[in-house]
Amino acid sequence: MAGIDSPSTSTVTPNVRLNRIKLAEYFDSAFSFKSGSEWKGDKRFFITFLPNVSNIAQGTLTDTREIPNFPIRTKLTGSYDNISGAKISNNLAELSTTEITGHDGSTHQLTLSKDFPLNQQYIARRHIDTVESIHNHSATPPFFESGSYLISKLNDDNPSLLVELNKDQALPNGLGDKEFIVIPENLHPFIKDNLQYFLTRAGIDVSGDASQYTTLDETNRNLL
Amino acid sequence: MARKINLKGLFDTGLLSSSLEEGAVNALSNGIGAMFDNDPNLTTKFETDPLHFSGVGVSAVKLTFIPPIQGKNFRLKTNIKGINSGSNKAFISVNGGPSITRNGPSSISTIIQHNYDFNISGLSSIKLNQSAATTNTSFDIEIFNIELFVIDEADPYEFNDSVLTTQAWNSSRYIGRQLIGSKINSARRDDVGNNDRIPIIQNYSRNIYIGSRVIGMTEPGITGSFDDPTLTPFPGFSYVTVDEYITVNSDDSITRRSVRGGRGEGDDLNARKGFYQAWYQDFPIGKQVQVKPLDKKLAQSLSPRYNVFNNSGQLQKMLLVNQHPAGDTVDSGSYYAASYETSSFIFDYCSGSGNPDETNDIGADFNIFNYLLLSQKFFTGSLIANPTPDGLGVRT
Repeated sequence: MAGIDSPSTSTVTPNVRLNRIKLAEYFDSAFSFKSGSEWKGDKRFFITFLPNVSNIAQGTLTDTREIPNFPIRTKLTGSYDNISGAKISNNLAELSTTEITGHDGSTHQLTLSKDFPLNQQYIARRHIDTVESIHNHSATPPFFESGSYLISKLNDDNPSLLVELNKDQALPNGLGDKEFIVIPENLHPFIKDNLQYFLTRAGIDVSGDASQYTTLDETNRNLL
Repeated sequence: MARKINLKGLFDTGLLSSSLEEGAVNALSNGIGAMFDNDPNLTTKFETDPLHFSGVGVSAVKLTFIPPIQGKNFRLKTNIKGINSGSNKAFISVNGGPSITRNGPSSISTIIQHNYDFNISGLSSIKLNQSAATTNTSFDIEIFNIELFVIDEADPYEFNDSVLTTQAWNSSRYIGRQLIGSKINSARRDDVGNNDRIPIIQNYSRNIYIGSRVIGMTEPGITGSFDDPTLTPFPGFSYVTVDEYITVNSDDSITRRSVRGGRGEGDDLNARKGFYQAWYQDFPIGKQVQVKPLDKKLAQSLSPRYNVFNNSGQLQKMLLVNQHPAGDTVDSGSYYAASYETSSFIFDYCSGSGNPDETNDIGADFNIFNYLLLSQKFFTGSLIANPTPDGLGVRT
C-alpha cells in the first residue's frame, strides 16, 4: 500500500493497529471542534457502514482503501437483513450513512442521528477464535461481516444536493456552455410557466432569442 | 401575497430557538417543538408560576430567530386552550417591544384562536405570555399550531386579506383538518384524511436556483478516480451544487442572493444562514428536484426529477476502520466491535470496557484520508501510540 498520496488529499495507512484510547481522543476532538463554533454546518460528522472485501462483487479487491466505493445499499441483496427485507428510503440511510450526534469515550459509544435514523441494525461478526466463541455474532446485514466503517466530515461551503444522477451517463459531455438551474418541487406554477421570462430578466443566458420572452402566461398568477 | 414561515423547519434546524422565561413546561407536554407542527395529538403545555411577583400566575416563552425573518408586516396566529382553568390574558411582545394583548380562553377546554398583526422591520423575537386574572393565580394552558406569515415583504408583496377567512387559511388544526396533500392545491383521493376533498394549500417556493457544478462519483461497481477524490464516494450519485438563487417577487421583480465568491463566510455568516434557510425549505430530504440545463443543444439524458438523498453539503472521507484480515476472513480480536442498535441509536466501537492493557484492544486496520485537509483542523494528537515526528506513525 502507498504511504502518502499528496499533501492535501493524502491517504495515510499506518502499519500499526488502532486502539480505543486513541480513537476516543479522535472523536472527542471532533465534537469539541464542533461545539465550540458558531457555525456548525461544516463541523458535522457522519458514519458510513461498509462491506467486507470478500463481499464486494468483483471479489478481486485487495486494497482496503477502495472499500468506500462500495457502500451497503439497503435495497440490494446482501445489504439488508433477511428478516425485515429490502429498505428503500431515498435518503442517506439507504446508503448506510447517518450523522454522528454524540460520543461517550468511557463506554466507547457513538450516538447516531435520531432525526434521520438508519434503516436497520448493523452488527459485525466478531472474533473467530473458538476459545472466544461467546463473542461470535452473526453478521447483519450479511455484507457487514467485517464491521468496516468510514467517518466523514461535512463540507457545506457550496450548498449541494446528493442525487442519484450518474453523471457519465446522463451528462456525457458535461453541462455545455450555459448555466443550469435547479428547481424545487414546489416552485410556484406561475413562475414555472414563465421560467424563461424570469431567467432572462435576471440576466441569465437562456438558449434562443431572449426577445421572445416578453409576455407572461398569467394563468396561474393568483394561485396561493 | 403572504408568505408562510416554516416554523417547524426553522426549529428543527436551530434557526428558531426557545427559552422559557416564566412558569414551567408541563410534564405531559409534547415539547416546545409541538407548538409548530400540524399533528393534532401534540401540544406544548405550560404551567404558570403561581408565585410570580406580579401576584398572578404567569408563563412566558421567548422565540428567537437567527437570522431575523425579513419583512415589514407580519401576522402571528396562535391557538391556546385552558387545561385546569381559563386564562385571562394572552399577549405577545415582538422584538422586546410593547405587549399586544388579547383575552385568553374563558373556561377549561375552550380553544381560542388569536391573530396578532404587527409592523416591524425584521422579526428577531416573539415572547408569548399568558397570565391569569388576579383572582385566579394558577392555570395551565396548551399552545398549538402557531403560524407566522410575512404579510408585506421588504420588497412589498400585495396581500389579499380576504383569504384569511377561507377554510384553507384557517388553522387546519382548529377545524380538525389535516395538511398532508398528495398534490399542491388540488384535492386527490390519496390525500391523508382530506375526506371533504377540499384543495389543500401548501407553501409554494418562489426561488429558482442557479447551479454551479455537477460533481459525479464513480460508476457503481467500479473503482478508480472521480471528479473530486476527497469525497466519500456514493457510486452512481452526484452532488448538484448551487451558490446563487433568484427570488421572483409578487410584483415580478427579481432579487438575487448568493454565497458565491466568499459571501456567506467569515464576517458575513448571516448571508450563509439566510441562504441555507431558503435552501432547506425548498429542498427537503426525500422530496424531488429538477435539474435543467439551459443549453438546449446539450446532449443529455437527465431524468425529469431526482430524489434528494441529502441537502446539507458534501461528505469528505476522513477515517476508514477495518477489522484486521486473518486468512480468508477477518479477526481483529475479541475487543473489536461494530454494532448499531436501531432502538438506542447507539454504535459500539469497542467490546465491553476494552483490553485493560489498552494496547491494540480494537486491533483494527485503519486509513486516514485527506489528513492535512480535514483531521488536522481539529485533531492535534495521533491515532498511533508511538507516532513519528509528523504525528502519523510508520506507514507501509
